Amino acid sequence: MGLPRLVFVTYFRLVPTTQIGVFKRCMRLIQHLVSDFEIHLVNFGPLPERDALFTELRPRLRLQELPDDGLGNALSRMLEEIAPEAIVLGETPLRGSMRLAHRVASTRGVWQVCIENYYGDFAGGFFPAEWPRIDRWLLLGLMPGGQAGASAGRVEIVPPLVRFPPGGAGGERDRVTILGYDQQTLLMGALLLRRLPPSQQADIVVSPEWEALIEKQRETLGRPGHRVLVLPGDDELSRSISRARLVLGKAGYQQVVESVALGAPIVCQICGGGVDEQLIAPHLRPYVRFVATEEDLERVMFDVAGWLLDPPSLPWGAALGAVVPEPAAHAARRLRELVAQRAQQAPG
Amino acid sequence: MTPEASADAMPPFLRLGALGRLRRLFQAKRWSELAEAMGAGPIWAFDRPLPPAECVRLLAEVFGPAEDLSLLVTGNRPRASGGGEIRSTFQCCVLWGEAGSWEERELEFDLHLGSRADGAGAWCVSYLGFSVR
Repeated sequence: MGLPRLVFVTYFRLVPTTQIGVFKRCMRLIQHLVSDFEIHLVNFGPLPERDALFTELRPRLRLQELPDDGLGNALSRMLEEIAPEAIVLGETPLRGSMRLAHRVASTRGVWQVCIENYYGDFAGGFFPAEWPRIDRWLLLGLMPGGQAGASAGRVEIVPPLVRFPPGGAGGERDRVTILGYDQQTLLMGALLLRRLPPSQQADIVVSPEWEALIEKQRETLGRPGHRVLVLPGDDELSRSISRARLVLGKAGYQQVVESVALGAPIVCQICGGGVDEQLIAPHLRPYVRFVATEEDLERVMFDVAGWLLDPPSLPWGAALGAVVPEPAAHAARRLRELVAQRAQQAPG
Repeated sequence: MTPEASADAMPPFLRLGALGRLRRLFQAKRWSELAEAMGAGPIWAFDRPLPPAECVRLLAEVFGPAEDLSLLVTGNRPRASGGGEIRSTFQCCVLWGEAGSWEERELEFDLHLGSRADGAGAWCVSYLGFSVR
């Protein structure tokens, strides 16, 4: 007998800014499920060919390439043929192809699990009420007081899918980490570093296309003590953030909670498709600042100085890592349980 | 939005005044209640003043047959408020599916809303307008 089947639905976009978070979180879960399930992947948009984890997993996935024209019919046929245990939506199906996939799955009566951000207390009630045809929710985020997770009704809350460095960060918190995957954030990172002492250590995380830009910004992005990391894997990235006193990244929810989960406050570059400041839960706000312009950066420099001189002790970080050392494996286990709940609810 | 969703279960930007209730009634196609919730009017619909009943009649005509009717609020811009009234402009998108097909439709617009506390813990509409974004 074959393995039970799961269909993951995700997307990857390059405009207005690169949006790979939903795709990435699905890959991080799939790596822990691929031995127990036949995984089918529907991805809207191009495939992120350079993503290291996807490259590793690709031979074990069944990629479903569906046409833009007649997408609804194609999704419906696919679900009929595969007859999955569940469809896993990588994000709330607000609009576009994700919404259509949800509509088709609902019409076909397929068990639906949705992965979403845990934005705070309201999320546990809001999402099931707004999308009543989604059977279970796996919410990723940080709970107040460092609590690792919670389970209530149709909702399971788990920590963000970071990788806590095995054996600790491997050194003291001494650096600034710039998550400069996109040009706007990288340039804001350069503006930040220009305001810091020349001796400040920094890890600058970039996509390959920005290496030339770094060459041009040598004065601020290539000082002694700066390391340039080109598309690092999850291990290297988490080690860098775990040693950071401060992260500067894009205002994507995952970048925010992953930095905070690893114990580093974050300054976020506001960007298209990113998270709204109002959606940052009150218990995270002390560790998150938003900037759109250089003037905004100037306004947060007082907080930045405080974080650098006297790093706050966040209630997550190593303490959370001690409770849930492998959040992705933990979340995959919970997802497996949410899928299994279908059998308990099946008639007869 | 289902009836059991309370105001507290909404994101902060949806709690601004009367929007949550209008949205819930619209999505549930509860047209007569929606007409009542829209206040005394007139409603400024794309530069045209309409009585609430007429506005709702048009909404029912267009969206009555819709499947998966959804009003998405993608952002809001607070406006000058005072005298117990809060005013805001919401960027909105109505999404719906066509019955009998997988076709999906979207309509983007701005919703301008003035809300006033009714004294009993709820918000009522003091001004409502729609404009093209």
